Amino acid sequence: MTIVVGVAPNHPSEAAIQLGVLLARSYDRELVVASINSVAWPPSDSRVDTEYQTFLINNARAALDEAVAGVPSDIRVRTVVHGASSARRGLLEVCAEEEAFRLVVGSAGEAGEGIKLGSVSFGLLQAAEIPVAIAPHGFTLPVDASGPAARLTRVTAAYSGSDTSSELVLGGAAVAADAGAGIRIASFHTRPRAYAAAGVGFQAEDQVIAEWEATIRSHITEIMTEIEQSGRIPESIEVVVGAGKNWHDALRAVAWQRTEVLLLGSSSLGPLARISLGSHAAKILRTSPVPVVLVPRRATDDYLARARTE
Amino acid sequence: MASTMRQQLFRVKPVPRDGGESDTQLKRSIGLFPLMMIGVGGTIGTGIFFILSEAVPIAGPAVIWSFIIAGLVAGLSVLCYAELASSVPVSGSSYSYAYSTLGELPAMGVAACLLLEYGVSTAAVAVGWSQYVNQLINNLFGFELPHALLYAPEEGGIINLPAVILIALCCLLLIRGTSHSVAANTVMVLIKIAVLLFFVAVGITGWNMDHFANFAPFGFTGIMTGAGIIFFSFVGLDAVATAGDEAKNPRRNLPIALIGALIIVTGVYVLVALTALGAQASGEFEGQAAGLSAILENIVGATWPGTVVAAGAVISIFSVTLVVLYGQTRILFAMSRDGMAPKIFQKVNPRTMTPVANTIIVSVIVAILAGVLPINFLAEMTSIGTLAAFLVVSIAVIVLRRREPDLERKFRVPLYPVIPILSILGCLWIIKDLRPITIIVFAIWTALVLVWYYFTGRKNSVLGKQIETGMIVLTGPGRYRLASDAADHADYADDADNAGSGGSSSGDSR
Repeated sequence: MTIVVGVAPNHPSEAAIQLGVLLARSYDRELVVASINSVAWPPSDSRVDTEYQTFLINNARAALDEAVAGVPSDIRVRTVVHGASSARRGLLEVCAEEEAFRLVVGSAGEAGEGIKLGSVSFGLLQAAEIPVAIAPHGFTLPVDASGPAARLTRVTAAYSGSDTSSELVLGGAAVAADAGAGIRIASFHTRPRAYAAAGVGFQAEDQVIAEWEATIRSHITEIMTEIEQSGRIPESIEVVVGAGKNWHDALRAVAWQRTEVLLLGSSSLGPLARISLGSHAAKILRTSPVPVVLVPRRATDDYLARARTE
Repeated sequence: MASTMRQQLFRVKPVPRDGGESDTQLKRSIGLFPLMMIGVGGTIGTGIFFILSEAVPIAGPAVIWSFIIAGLVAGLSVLCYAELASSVPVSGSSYSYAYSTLGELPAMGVAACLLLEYGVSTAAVAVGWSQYVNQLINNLFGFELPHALLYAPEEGGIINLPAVILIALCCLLLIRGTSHSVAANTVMVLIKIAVLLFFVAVGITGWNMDHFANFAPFGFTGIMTGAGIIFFSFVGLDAVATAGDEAKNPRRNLPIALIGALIIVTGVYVLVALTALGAQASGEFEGQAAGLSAILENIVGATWPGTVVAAGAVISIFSVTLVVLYGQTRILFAMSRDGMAPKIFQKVNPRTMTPVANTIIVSVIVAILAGVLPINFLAEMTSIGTLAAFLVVSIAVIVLRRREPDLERKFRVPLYPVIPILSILGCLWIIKDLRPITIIVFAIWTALVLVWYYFTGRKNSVLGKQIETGMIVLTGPGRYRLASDAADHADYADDADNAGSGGSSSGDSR
């Protein structure tokens, strides 16, 4: 099984490669860096666009060579140029061929905080059946010449209180254990504002949030017990609740490590196999300070099955 | 420590010094104008759109005086409310203030009133909304809802369906979790005032002095009974007092905002009432649905002004229903956290972060009330609940001034003790002239709540348990302090105790 990183020519790819390296090293997998070319359409034997196809392939190769140049020597790495009718379909085909364990892509748009979904990554989420990791712009691994090369140190699983998200946490604990990392269970909330004219005071919502936090913490305690009974115990287990006046502040109210990923589950309302982001998850993704791994519900079930059987 | 019945009934919930919940660093400060708009916003829209057809048949054109009297009494009471609110350093509803000053039993009494002020007024407002929705649908699409689906059984219908639908919609919004900024409130207020001024501007063209010929056909009693029904349309003014905690310079701004809001509200009401009375004879008000729209249509002879008013009413009554329903769920939430209401009311859904069960229960009950009860009964029940709550608050101001003269109050009622006494007299006077059925139902309701308290709330009281386990220590007659706070605030406790009771048992046990 491999880690597939999608690279587009003429689009910065360092962040995605760095994340791919981190995951490949942590899970001890081979890294496959893939670039997708558009194939001739309509398909024909006359090959009128041979020169154009050659240009595209060369362009892609150059981009791949540039991308893998920075990959450290301890990582096994291959490059693939794949032709497909769309980047989304191509990446999924590569993932199937290479038996991918994770698909890694970069954030869309201009450099900036958080993660933006572009047309390709958004389409991927709709169709992917394996977890998709997205690196925010400027994601780099800490460089430390003397110490061991960077590995995943912690997996933070976002817990929303739903059943699928508690399954996600259990699954997250299992993969964190695989990678020798710790698990952190995190819940976030923005402080809602009371209705000004309701005459119940502006802090009415603080009580609701206090009750919410108590509920969340008691659920998490149950989940932690289950993690401890699973036999695949991560390096460490932490619980954290981040609060802020908006999602940006709420995510930054907790400390993040440089070699950490945030696990986000799929909304339980979406199709069974695929990723569909809930409204809260979409907001968390947009402001996440660390790479985000989006887990489709079917993958969550696989996680869970592994967590419970082994 | 076994406590006596008296100690139980009047145990006072201590207020943590840091203001209660942990996240106090996000204190917002509200200036004078938005503060005033909070009062106006909570008030306008509850009653004025439909109360005339209930009050004019009772008071005649002298209903103008009913408005002024109701406004005066509301103003006096809200001043007292502001003092009470400012002497408790957390914000909350009058239930919370009563609990932290008067004790558990009076707090339950206030809670019984608040369930009427909020729950029943939501139902009343929703019924008023249904009339305007019907009017709007009729004007825009040319068909009317069937009578059976628009009126309560007593009025010849089966169920008031639009009112039920409105409450269901608000319920969904509250479950989903919406927030409402002070700025949004201000915008909503301006829409409401604009609609009412539009009514005045168009309606004044139909002015006929003859309509005022028989000014007070039912005399003074009529005026006072009218004031009782109209008092309903001043519900919401107390929102200003609860915002006092976050107001900039409350000592100056709170009374100005209150009086300013009162003058704006009363002014708009009187203008609307004068216009309506000038436009049609007082005999025509009775039973008139969507009154303000109907009056304009009769004057102009076209439907468009009625449509404008109906659309404005539909929007503004919707926002009021949402806000008041919200208030009701949060009051029950606070009571449940204190052990004074069943635990189900404090369950928060982790995903939506809102008290879902609470919201659904409240909405179902309010929807039933709105669906089957006539509007005049709902309006009077709201009025008496609010009047009784204000009555308790006014008494509380006097009790507290005597019991704890040195308590820090950010705002003090001017002309003490004249204003609290006038407020008490005013409330009693209006209550006296309400229909006997209203007073009887109110008395039964309050008794039921208090009986419920005696058998369950008193034993489930979180405060009671905290006193038993020593988390809260008794520092004087009726005075308690959190054990964790007691050490830091021994000086404060001393002051209060010495002043309040001659220091019979001072709080410096540590």
